[in-house]
Amino acid sequence: MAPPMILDPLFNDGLTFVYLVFALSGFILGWVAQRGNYCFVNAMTSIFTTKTYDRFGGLMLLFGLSALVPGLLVAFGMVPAVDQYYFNYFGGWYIVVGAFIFGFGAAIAGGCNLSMLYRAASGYVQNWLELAGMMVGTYFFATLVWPVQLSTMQVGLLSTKAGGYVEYLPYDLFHTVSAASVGATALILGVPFIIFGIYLQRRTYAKFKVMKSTDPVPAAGAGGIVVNRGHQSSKPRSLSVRAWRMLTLKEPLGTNLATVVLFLDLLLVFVMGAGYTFNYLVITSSDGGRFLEYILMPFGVNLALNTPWYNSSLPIVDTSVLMVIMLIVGAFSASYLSGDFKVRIPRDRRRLGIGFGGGILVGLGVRIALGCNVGLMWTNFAQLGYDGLLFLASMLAGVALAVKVQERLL
Amino acid sequence: MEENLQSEVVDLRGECCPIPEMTASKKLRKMTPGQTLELLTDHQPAVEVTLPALAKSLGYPISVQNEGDAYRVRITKR
Amino acid sequence: MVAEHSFPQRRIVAPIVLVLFALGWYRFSDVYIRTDDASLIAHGNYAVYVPLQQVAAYMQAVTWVSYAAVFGGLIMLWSGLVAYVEYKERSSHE
Repeated sequence: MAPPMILDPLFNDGLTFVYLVFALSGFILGWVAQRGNYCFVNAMTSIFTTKTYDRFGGLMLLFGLSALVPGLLVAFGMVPAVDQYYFNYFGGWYIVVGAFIFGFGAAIAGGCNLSMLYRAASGYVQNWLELAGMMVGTYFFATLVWPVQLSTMQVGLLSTKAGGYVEYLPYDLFHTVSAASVGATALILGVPFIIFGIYLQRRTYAKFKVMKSTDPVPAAGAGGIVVNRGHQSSKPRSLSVRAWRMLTLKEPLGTNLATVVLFLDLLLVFVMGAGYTFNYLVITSSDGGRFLEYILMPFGVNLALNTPWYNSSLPIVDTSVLMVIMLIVGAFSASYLSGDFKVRIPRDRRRLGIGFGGGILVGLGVRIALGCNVGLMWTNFAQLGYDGLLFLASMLAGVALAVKVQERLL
Repeated sequence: MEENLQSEVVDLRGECCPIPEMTASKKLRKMTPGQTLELLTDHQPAVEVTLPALAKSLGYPISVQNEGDAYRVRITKR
Repeated sequence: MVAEHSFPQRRIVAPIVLVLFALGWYRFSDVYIRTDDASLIAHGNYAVYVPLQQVAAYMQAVTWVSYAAVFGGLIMLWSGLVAYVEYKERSSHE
């Protein structure tokens, strides 16, 4: 018997409450990502540019925790399995192709779908143009790519023909969505990522330590970060002093602290939104691209009525819209209150064009992949799917190529 | 010799990741030991994360000075 | 040196932009998103149409969120103005 495909709400708090929870989670996401300098694409570029793996390790930890804990909540019967797999979407060639284009575009434009938004809110003009480029890229996708892509999805050409439990690893591995199968899958998917993340971070810190014993390089904090503001003291601060400095926005959040808070943010919407809506974090891939639709509305152009993709994808009145709006507000607030906010125009004006062009690729890539680094890659780990793994591998390849290209251009 | 030890200044204000660390990495490769690379940036992640990580990874000393609207990051090649 | 000598205007302007952004989003939702949803059902597009109950919940949440953002922005504006007055006092003493 096929597993059920009817949502089963966990709470009866009402839709308004759910919307507000998503708005709050968006605010937390923007604030923490801004204060933690959390950037998926930068975690990847740093592998190639600075040869350090601590932030990529943090990302692996984030994915591991996101797979493990929601999976265990389902396994222990605290969240219905259907609420975890209901929104799993199709998987196929487009994830590999889209994530590669996205990784390349994001690395040359200087921001993944998360960092693009929080940096745009911190005053980076290049990221404003990336966002504008993304809207254009989304339109190109909608009119040129989507009709063809949809037909391959309908006939199952290098693609699954359905989402939901078909894309749910417990069902794929054990042909059941029982508690045991979900629990086992959560462990199989989550634990190796956590171990891998810790290994990468330890390896990087060990490397720093070796360097420190031979050179007077400032000591690393939890996130491997030390900044001397105007003086040369490199004495490490105590934990309580650092905590106070983080709370008062004088010091950024360490990589792992930001990782844990972001994971808890995902858990908040996973539990509170269960059975109501797409109960994961989503960012700009659909809503950012959709801003073009919003912008055109006052001019009497309604893309939702006559343009492919816009007329058949997510509804406009969605929880994710509020999440994106509040992400911008959260990131702006963190940036302003910490004194970082400033309208920044790159000295090299070519970078504005590169930002816009990269944004077009970002828009095109995320739509082809059917999601971005958050709404698809990270989220899919929490959904216990396999699309996130495909996305991760392909995005890494795109980022690696972009680093090679940029090194030549600089 | 004296000329070789002069520091090189790069203005990266307005630029965001991964340009600062990539530029620094490329410039440092071309410099001779003892030379200092000075980077002017207003990108906090570069100051707090990526440039210190690059310096630590290479084993070069780094210092950061807040100059109001931007930071002056100095990395000395060893 | 790149230190700035004048008070950064962005400390005053930025919170005002935030307040206008929140008000703008509220007005946009109220005027266009509602209308858009109504026109979807008029054209028989049920793929992206959402029930009126959901639109009402969205609008209620947008109202609260906009209030929060506007008040947050006003608090930031206030702190910016305080900083400006402090700056002026300091510079008049020098």
